[in-house]
Amino acid sequence: MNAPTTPPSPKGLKGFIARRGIACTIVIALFILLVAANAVYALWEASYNPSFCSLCHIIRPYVDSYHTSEYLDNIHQQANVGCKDCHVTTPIGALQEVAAYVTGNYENPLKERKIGTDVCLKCHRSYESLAERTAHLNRNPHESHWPNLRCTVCHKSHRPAENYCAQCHQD
Amino acid sequence: MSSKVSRKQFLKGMAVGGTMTLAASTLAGCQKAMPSGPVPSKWDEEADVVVVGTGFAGLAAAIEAKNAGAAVKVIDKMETPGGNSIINGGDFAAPGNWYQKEQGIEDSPELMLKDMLKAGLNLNHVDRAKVLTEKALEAAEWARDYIGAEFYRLTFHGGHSVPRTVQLVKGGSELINKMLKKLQELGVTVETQRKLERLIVDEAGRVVGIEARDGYTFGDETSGKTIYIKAKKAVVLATGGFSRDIKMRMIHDPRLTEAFESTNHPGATGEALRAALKIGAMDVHMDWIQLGPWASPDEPGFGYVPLFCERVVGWAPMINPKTGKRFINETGNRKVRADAIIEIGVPVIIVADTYATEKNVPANVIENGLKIGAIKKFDTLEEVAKEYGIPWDAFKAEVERWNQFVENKKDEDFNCMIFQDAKPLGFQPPFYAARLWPKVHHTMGGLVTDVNGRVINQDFQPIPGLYAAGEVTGGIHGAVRLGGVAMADCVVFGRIAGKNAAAETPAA
Repeated sequence: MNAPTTPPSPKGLKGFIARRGIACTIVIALFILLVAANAVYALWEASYNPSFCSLCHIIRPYVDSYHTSEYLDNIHQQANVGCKDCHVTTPIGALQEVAAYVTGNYENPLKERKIGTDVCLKCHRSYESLAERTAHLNRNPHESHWPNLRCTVCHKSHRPAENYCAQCHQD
Repeated sequence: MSSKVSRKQFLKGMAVGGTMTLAASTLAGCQKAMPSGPVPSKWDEEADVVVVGTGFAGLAAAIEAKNAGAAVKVIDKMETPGGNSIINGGDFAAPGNWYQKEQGIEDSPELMLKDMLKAGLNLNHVDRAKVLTEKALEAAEWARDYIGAEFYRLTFHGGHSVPRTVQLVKGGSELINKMLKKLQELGVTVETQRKLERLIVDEAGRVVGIEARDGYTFGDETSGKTIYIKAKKAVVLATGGFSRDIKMRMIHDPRLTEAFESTNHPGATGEALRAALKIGAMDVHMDWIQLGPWASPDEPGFGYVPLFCERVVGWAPMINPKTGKRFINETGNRKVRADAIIEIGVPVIIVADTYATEKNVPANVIENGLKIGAIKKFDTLEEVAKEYGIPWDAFKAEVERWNQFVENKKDEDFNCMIFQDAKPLGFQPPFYAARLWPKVHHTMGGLVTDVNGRVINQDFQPIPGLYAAGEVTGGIHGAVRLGGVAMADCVVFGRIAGKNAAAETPAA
């Protein structure tokens, strides 16, 4: 009473290739890869839009500040400078951020980042040119006894600036 | 002895001063530190010599240690390097210096030592003070020739018997920035925002490294993360004084409440000094805390007025506004002047004419002082009296008396040093004046060290693997530090500590 046995058709990729042929499989795989790459690229591109950043509830307050505050973040918003222009990252860095989020390995509120002077000088030209702009001040903060003072020592993006020099000197 | 500083060298060092109590007790007690907690099983980083602090002393130590072949790490808790030294006025006491020679001024290490002991009320640790005076000129020349720091003139400070300080262009920042540049050339990176938490002592009682907070933000004690840095040869503490540590300074001098401002940067706090005390280091003179008598209540920090006041003493009088009279030797040491002002109870007035001012004070000091109102300008002395509420008749009579002393080059009242080129007040109006009220300036006290820069423990013995230099150490200045001697102390003993730290035999 045994049912007639038919040879089982191979399952999985092997079966797929067997049924469709190798050339067709490669074409389909490439297509899927292309779609995925496009999606990642689109996501990466979208991540330049501050509203993308504000999808995350931890980052949202900073984006709100960016749109409405009296601080440097809003000045940068008015100049059409986005989050990622200062918060420079790489795709790997972005993946690490996702991982940190998933594993809960992050601070809330976030730790204040120390943006490097080189990032600021992408737009703000040079320390010398900044010194010219503040040359009228009694003590020129851009020509101080710290020739390479990091900008963010005084200039804070999401909160009021701090006059580091005033710890010891009157203006 | 685990140190390469040989017994012969050590005894030679002792013999130089001769008077230290250490000599009597070199045979007793143990050369070790007290435990401070566990030694980590794994170190995050390591170097031969770990220098804590980036002022004159720390950078001098780092440069010398590196040049002696050691792998060096330099850390600082602040965001920016330079500590107090970067806001220092830039005067380096160097007896027999090149400007003195040009101007025919006779000076010697012996005379400088005499001045230091006089001002220091003979509380100075003579052996170290002697080394300082003997090596100060060499250290200033090293700063000028090897480091490339630019000096531009000879200056005078109260308490010195001759003008002997050479002044840096741009103040202390000139030397700090040139030393930072030198370190960069030597391949040593200065690591800021790393705060010393604990000196780590091994079972043998040797300092073998530090626990630090990496990524520390000053004022936020929870910031950063703990790291362990191994010091294979030694740790050099060059962490400065505690003038801005109100709690700590009030332990030693309860009068110095928050009502007293300080000339120091905010990071001038005492936790690194206390970290050394916790492992059994000895301290000295902790309650001799110097106030700067030349400071102004009309500006924050060190400001412009000291650069005006200290340049015109010996050319111009200081007046008690209550009486209209002088009250102290204007060229006396800082302690006698500050005490006299505090006793008067209100800010006193220094007043100089255009002749004395233009001859001595850099133009930008006056310009900026006037701009912020800490220095004021008057056409007549009567206007000066009116502004500060000085009784005019008494003031007028006192100026006449002072002018007589200037003519005779002899102050019969207070024995103020009157300079050769000084002219009577009013020789060339208008007048410049400022109010003076002392600010906390320098903590003479600190760790006891020997002439080799080694930190001494409670058994009068050097702690293996631990050196210190600069304001964190005590004893050298005695009761009162003279102007320009801090930089000399820092550079001389920073260099000694750095060289000797690099010569240590690594811990097993």
